[in-house]
Amino acid sequence: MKIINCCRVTAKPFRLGLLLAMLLPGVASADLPADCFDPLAVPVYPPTADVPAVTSQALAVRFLNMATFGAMPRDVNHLSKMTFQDWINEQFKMDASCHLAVLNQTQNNNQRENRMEVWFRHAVTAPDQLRQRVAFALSEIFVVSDVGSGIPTNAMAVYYDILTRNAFGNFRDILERVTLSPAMGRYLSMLHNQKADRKSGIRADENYAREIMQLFTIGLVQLDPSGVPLLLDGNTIPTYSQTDVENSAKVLTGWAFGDSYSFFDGGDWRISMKPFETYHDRSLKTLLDNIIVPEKGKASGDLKILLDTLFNHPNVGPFIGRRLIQRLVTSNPSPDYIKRVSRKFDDNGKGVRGDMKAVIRAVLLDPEALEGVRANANFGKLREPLLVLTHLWRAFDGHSLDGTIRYYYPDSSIGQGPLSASSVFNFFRPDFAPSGAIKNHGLFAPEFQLVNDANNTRFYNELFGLIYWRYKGNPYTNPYDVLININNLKKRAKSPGALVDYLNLILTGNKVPADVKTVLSNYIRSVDYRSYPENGVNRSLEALYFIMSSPYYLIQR
Amino acid sequence: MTTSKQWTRRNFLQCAATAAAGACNRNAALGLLAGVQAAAAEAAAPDYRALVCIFLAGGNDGFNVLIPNDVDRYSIYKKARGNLAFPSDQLLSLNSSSGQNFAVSTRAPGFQNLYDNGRLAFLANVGTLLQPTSKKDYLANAHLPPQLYSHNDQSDQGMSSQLDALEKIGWGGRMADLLTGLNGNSPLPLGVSIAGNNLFQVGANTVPYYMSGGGVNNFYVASGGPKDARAKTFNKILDLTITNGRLLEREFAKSVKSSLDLSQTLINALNKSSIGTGIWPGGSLSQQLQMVARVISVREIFGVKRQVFYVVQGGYDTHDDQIQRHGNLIAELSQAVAAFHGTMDEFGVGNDVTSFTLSDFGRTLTTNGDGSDHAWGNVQMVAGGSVVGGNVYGAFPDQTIDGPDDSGYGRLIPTTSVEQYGATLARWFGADGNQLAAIFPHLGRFDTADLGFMALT
Repeated sequence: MKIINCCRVTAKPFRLGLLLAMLLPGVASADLPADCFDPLAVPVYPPTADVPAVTSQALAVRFLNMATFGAMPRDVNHLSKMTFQDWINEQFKMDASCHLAVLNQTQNNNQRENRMEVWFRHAVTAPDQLRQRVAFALSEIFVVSDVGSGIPTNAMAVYYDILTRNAFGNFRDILERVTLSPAMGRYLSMLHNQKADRKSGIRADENYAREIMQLFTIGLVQLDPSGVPLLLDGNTIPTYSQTDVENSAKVLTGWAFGDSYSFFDGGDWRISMKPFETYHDRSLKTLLDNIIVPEKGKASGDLKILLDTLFNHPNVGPFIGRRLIQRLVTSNPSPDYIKRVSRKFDDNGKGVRGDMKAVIRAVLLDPEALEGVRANANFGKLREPLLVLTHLWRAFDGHSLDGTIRYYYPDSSIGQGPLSASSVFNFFRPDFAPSGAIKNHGLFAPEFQLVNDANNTRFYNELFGLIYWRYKGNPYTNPYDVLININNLKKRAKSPGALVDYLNLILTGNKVPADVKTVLSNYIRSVDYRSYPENGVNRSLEALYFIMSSPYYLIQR
Repeated sequence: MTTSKQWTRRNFLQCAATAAAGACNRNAALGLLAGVQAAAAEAAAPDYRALVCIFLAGGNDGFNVLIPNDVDRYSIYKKARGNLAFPSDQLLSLNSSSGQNFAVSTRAPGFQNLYDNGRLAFLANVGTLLQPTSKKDYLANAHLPPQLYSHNDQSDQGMSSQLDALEKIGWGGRMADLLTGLNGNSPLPLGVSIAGNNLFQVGANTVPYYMSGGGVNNFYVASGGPKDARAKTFNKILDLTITNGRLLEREFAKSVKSSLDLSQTLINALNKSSIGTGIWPGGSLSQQLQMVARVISVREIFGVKRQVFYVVQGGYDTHDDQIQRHGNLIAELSQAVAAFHGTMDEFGVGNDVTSFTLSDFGRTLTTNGDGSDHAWGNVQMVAGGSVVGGNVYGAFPDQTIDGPDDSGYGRLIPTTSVEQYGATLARWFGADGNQLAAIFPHLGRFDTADLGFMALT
């Protein structure tokens, strides 16, 4: 850790100026959310240029595994004809594939199974892959869950679309739209949070006030731009106190459903919450870093001061930057990598703070992201169970007979469902380290929090079933099963070496080492090429399972 | 260690000799089940003991589980809790022959029954503490645990008892580190989690076995048996990864290998298990405790003398709709705990199995409208035949808002450390004085290491 005297003393004049700026009438306009694609239209993928390749297939696979829900032949071919930068720019220009609009095409938009199907369909087939992938990452930072919260299914889709449509906007807008969404309002009980009432002994609810600081913006301790905790006399420096939480809770009073006529009626989950001033605490409130919220303020004005304060806190760049790197690229980014990303958060080069496009470019195009273990020996991350399944179905065109992707109960099948974490702390924590060598090296591996004996068995068996039993051509399936197309494997199955090499390329970007490939090829050779229902099927399925269950695939680097 | 190596008696002795130093992990003890069974039958020591940690995730409102029942303190309770207070007609009085006058809610008759039969004790005001802490200390911000009121930090501190350590290990895991020798060559780790990964059971040298409420399943890929080419290839790839892979690849492969190696052994043993003849309630907690009961029922097959289990009941972060939600939770908890201990009695290990609760933190006595927020000191429950039950241990706090025990809004300052609580359980479990000091680093700062709620026979 870096020792400093104290960071904030020198920063104070600046922060005072900041406060004054915030109290002046706002002139900045928010970025509009991206438009939605027509939910009834067939997805259109950008045409691939008819030019010589500029990016190798292996590198394209590797990059797409970070930036999408898994590399697939069409995208690999497309990306190989352009640079990573151009691909990102192409993705930035696309409208959003919106979840609610598609969910509304189903027979019941409030059925959880349908939300799962729509999520998988987007993850596997949506052309705006980068947007979808970033939205999923954001859903693991700004966590809302339908587990035990009573939030209706269609409201979860409304919430997910906030993340999807604003993924390339400004972080400040994401923060505000998330804060005012009724789903988050219900999940962390800002909805119907009211000012203290001495007579009934009620005081403001602290739930959202605490978590917006601890988990969504600044974290518990002050950080330098590279994410390293600042120290004062050898100790970390808290970002806020319990009193700051209590006062922020007062700021966050007075919000009800957007269609309410009185504070406790209403129930429209589609629109932002709206303020009721009689339930809002109008006293003077002192927030973290001695920011003052003057008395007699309105709910929305007070909220703006709080959100601006948090948004402008120097922790946000390293705090959110590290989380996005972990979700998309690697579990243990170097401090310099975090610093390069947080600088882009602070200023996109044109004086704009919180520009998500600049942040995403910085995360995905950083030399460390592109060079992997050559730049950082600890580079890599465990693939989340959901991302293994989306990759399987992207790479092998998995879908049910009618084109849907009916995988209704991922939480019980693989231990992870979108927007279904067990708490606001997500499926895993950013600082989780399994006991053993990883922890002993002082490293983190968040996704390992899902790894244990019971989950290992369940995951390996589920993957086994999805591969060995769910392929096109298997006569013992039903129309709702998600079936993969293994034609590209069958045609290589006569040559086990070629089959293994192909899978290694398109799934891992050639990360399986020679010794493992040899063992696997020898085994595949021992499997009879002749098989039911077609020749080559058994070899194809065996090779696919063995690559996808291999640690060299499941650790993505 | 080469995990694919055939295991021999000599290896095992080496492992046992160095187990305390952590040179042996659970992979090392595989393949010995037949020998284990014989050894267990031979030794057949009667002193089996198990601790079952019931983690109430989200922060249980313990001061709505144990409610003062005398006129004066009830009226203070009622005033402090506002619309969260249980009305007096929704209380079940607890036997007051010990001179203590308390009640539980009508949602929790199981607690009343266990308490009145001397098989359940309450701890009045337990929490994370670095040393005895007064309100004056609190106001001066003196030696307070870091990150009070934060879910993950306070859970980690309660599970580790290492409030001020950067790299924490759990006190259940440290007990396993120190006492795993008592289990001889059992293939089953001392710790068994029915609720996934948790800090409580992670030791310096030991990790628990993780099973689901449904038990243990076979790996399909290895279903052809160890001589099957597919299973051999799968194992070979894991072995190559463990030898030649990079850190993350290696560690992941080790985890899978370990799960694979143990699964068939455990399946065979659990095939002989039982949940007894009693009636179990529905719900996830009950299902998890049934799994604990099944493992305990075949403890002699595993040859274990000490076990630490971990189960979770979630949903306690009752910021809103508390009356309904919390009432449902404690109803489920009290029924499941009562059924579990009834089953232990049936198995003849009623005095050998103790369950106890932990939670993130207590909750504010005051209401935020229809719920409560994160606080500190909390009520905990200990149940089983060796519990000196029918008593409330530790000073019950003054629940007056802004009174001497309140740090604000009814966030009560704990008067008993979670380390004293854990040490009393660990001593019963078999840890000696030196081991207690090693497990609970701040224990010496408190007036007693034994709160007296466990009968030490």
